[in-house]
Amino acid sequence: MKWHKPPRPTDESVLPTTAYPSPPKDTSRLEKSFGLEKSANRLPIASEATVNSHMWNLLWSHKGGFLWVAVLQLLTTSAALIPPRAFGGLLEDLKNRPDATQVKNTVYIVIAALLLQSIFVYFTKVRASILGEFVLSALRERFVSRVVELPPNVVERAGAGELLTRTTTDIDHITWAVRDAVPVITICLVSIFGISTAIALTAPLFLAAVFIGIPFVFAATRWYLRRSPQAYRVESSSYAIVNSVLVETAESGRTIDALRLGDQRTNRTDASISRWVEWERYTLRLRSRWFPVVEINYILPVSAALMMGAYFYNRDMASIATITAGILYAQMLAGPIEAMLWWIDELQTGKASLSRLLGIHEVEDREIRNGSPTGKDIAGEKVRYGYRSGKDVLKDISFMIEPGTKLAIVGPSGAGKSTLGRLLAGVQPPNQGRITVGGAEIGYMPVEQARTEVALVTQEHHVFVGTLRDNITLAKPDASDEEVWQALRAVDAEPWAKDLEKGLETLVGSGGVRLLPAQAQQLALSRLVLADPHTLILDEATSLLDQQAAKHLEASLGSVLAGRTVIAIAHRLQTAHDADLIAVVEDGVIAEWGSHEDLLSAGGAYAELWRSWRDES
Amino acid sequence: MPGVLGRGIQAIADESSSELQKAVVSALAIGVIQAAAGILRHRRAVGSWISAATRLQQLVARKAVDLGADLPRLVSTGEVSAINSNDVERVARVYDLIPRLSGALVSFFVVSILLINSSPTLGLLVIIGVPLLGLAIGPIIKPLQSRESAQREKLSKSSGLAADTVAGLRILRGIGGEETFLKRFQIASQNVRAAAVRTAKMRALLDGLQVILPGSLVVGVIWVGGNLVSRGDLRVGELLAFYGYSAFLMIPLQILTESAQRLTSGAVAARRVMKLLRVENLQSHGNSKFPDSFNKLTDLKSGLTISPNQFVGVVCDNSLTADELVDRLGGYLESEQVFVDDTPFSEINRDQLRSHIYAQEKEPAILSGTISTLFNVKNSGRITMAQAIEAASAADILDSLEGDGYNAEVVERGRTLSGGQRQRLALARTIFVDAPIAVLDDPTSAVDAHTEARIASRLKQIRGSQTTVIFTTSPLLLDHTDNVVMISEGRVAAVGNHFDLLKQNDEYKRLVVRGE
Repeated sequence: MKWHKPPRPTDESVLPTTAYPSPPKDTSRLEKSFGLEKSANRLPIASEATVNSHMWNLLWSHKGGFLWVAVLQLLTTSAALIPPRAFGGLLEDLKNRPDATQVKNTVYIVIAALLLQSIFVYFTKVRASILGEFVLSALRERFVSRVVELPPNVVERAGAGELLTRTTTDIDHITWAVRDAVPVITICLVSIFGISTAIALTAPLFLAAVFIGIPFVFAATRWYLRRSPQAYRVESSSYAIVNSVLVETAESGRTIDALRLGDQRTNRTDASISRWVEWERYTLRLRSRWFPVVEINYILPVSAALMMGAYFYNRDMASIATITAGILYAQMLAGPIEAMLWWIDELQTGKASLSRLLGIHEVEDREIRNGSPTGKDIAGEKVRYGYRSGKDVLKDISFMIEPGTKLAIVGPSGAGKSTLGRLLAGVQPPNQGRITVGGAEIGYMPVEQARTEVALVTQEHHVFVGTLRDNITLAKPDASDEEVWQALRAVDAEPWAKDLEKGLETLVGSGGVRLLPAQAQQLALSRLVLADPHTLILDEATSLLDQQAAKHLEASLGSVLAGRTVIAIAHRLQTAHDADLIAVVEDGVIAEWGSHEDLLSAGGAYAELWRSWRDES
Repeated sequence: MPGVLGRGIQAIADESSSELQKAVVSALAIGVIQAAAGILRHRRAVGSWISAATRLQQLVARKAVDLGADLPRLVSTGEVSAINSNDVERVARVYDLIPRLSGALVSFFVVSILLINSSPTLGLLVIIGVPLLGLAIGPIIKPLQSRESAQREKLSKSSGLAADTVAGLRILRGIGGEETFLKRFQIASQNVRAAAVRTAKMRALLDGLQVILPGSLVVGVIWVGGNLVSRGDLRVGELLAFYGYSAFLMIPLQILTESAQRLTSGAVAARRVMKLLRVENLQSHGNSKFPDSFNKLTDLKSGLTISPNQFVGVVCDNSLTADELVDRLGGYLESEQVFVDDTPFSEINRDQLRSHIYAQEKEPAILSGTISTLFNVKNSGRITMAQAIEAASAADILDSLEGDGYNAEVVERGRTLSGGQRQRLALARTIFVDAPIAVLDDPTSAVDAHTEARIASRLKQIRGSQTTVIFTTSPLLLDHTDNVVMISEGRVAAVGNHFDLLKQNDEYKRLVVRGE
């Protein structure tokens, strides 16, 4: 009996700490209480029908493997059926006329059957796991390959957290389910079939007794399965929240200490724990109702078989051998039935995760419109954009940028500078108006094409797990060492890169050498040098560097980028001063546009700011 | 149960209907009892593992809070997380095991007594046979475990790669390299598959053994029992019962094998949990009070001295020095070398120290929650939330969030906010706390010049006569300071008024002035 739960997949990813609902006291209201969780999802979840058809396809495409497992298991079951039969025969004989040679023969038969059974068990299990692992690896690889081709705006909107949860937690859940559930269920189905056949052959009359419990088990299991998958899902998310609250406490130790938030954090941990415990108890309650019914199923068939056996025996319709075998078979059947029900349950949890994984395939692809750029000039025509309807971040912006221009975008925080940067890079098209590169709308180009035209580097930096070289050659995997070093030189990163023990082959990222945020930012810029697009958008791309270092980097990068269009979004006025053109964005519109000198003499907001800054120098 | 079945078969053979009735009724009764006992035991087991897990988690969480600022210097976050999820779970699972283990032991002894009573020979065969079989499985457990751990390692590597790829997906989609990373993941994923199949082969071997080993016991029972029956020393029904018992005893046997594994890994996990719980704070804290008014704060190492009621700027030639000095002035580093008047920080009560000095680090954490919960901190009550947000020029952030601003959820520890937005929210929180002494580490580094200029004047005004120390190189902020200290190579190099220093000190000018 496998009553303990399989180990919970651990989850180190970040979960939204949106409070999960408490488990309902009255189970009929359960379904309603899941509304909250749904609204937090920003990526689609596949429908039941999609999941079912996908599972079916998966089974069908591996039908050969399943056949193997089924045949092997049939052999295993057949071998397992011999000992009870032989034993029953022995009892029959012993009852009639005690004889030691009968015992010897039975022992030989049983030994042979056991040897066969154990050999078949070995091969069935091996085949089943080869099959399971194959299905699993196909599933996770298909998922990740879809993830890396998601439209950029979807990636941005979903946030790393949601995708991460799906990549880690959900894949883990499926691993648990598929690795064990699929083979076990296959095996159980075959055993049930095999044993039932054996009963039908030896004592057909017993079949009725064997299946007497099935309606109860079926009803109870249906009741259980209607509630359990969601409940387990919420239970494991609420467990993950306990950990993410603690991780937050640990990561923010300094802030919590400084603000004397210790008690608050402790309370929050306790609350998350008790929420998890509530769910744990709720699923326990579900099991407490379901298990006993299933358990009774062990005993009903046996009792029924006993009574029927007596009835038939009295009427000379069955021998002791048949009855013994029948009763032992009836007992044998209970195991696979229970195991199958248990793993169907486990599979349900997997199914919930599968629906989240498959949801990724339902993300709408980027809309592609025809048209290739015929030049390198960038233009905006009456661009409007808002993240939510009614709240436009950019209001009616038009501009024209000649190739090779160095443009600085300045303005107060929240004015829409970064949004403009994203639209210029073609992360997504504007709601109204057009942004074109060489006459073609960049927001409707295939991503792979758009990024050869315009590349965007933001403040956000990520050092990939891998070598330093891997981290730089994203756009050009076959770059030579010299090219990589050149890229590093262009971003002033050569000195520290040279100091690394294994140079370009040094492992960096999580688990490797830790790079400082400023170094990570240099890496991000060095990637650009190799990507070599004709237009670059730098959104606060040097903000983490020291004042002096940033100044120096911009100069050396400038020489590499000569002739390219550079659009720099920056809060340092130095960047604006060095640019050919300055756009002052305020409240979603371009308030001022012109060279540094033009704007100074115009005497607007930029001039005022510049003066307040110069006065001190 | 096997006993009842044996009696039943015997009753059928003897054509005794009253015996049969008894057998059927007892079979049903035993079934009900089994089900009830089973579920009770399960509830007990789950109950005890939950309470063990929750207690440990609470202890770990309290320890984390207690270590506070020292924690990152002592233990990595990943380790805390691993201890809280994996190790706590492993320890708790031992508690889950105990009811089952004790049940297994009890049932083993009860069955043994039953067996010996009805047939000493068969009884001894089963009682000695079962533990021997348990030992026979032993040698395979170790290689199985080592393959399992190799598999886990590969799995965590592959999911780590997937998570890493997703975390950097924006960059991959923006610049390229998806193919390279996908291929890498596929290789890792195939490695997992190979390792899993290797483990499965070992486990299949174990499964095979679990057929043949108990089977040999059954063979023994049939052999000995059959002969006993043929000699008339044993009844047919009793033999069936023995057959059943020998199969039944495999369950306690499996539980015992499992217990051995669980107890070992539980002990290892318990040691790791204990190691974390025994970690001690780096900074010591005494019981002295922080004086309500003081003459100066002194850091021996750098020679930095801060007078009360001033708006002071500190300019460092190196941002790492600034980070370290902020930590020292907050009492987070070598607190025996930092003094308020003549009392070292290490002698002051921790809560007293924190309530008097608030040192804001370079990238303060924005804890997840709503904007209102962000401001749910101990404060002087002098400044309202709205005033603080206004002073930090952070009102526009509230407008950009969904909902009505204050109740807007700051998701994922503020990661959906830009660096500048996070910085301004943290600054607003610092202003709201309104500590008598505020130390700020480059509080406007990610803020645009327009906003920085606004913040500078508002900050000075709202802090009033409270002591404020700002580590910065921004002229927009330094412009508003009463006094500036320049730190060069870790020591105080110059003190004076911002404008005077600009004129007189070349190094200062180089550090502060941007633009030509």
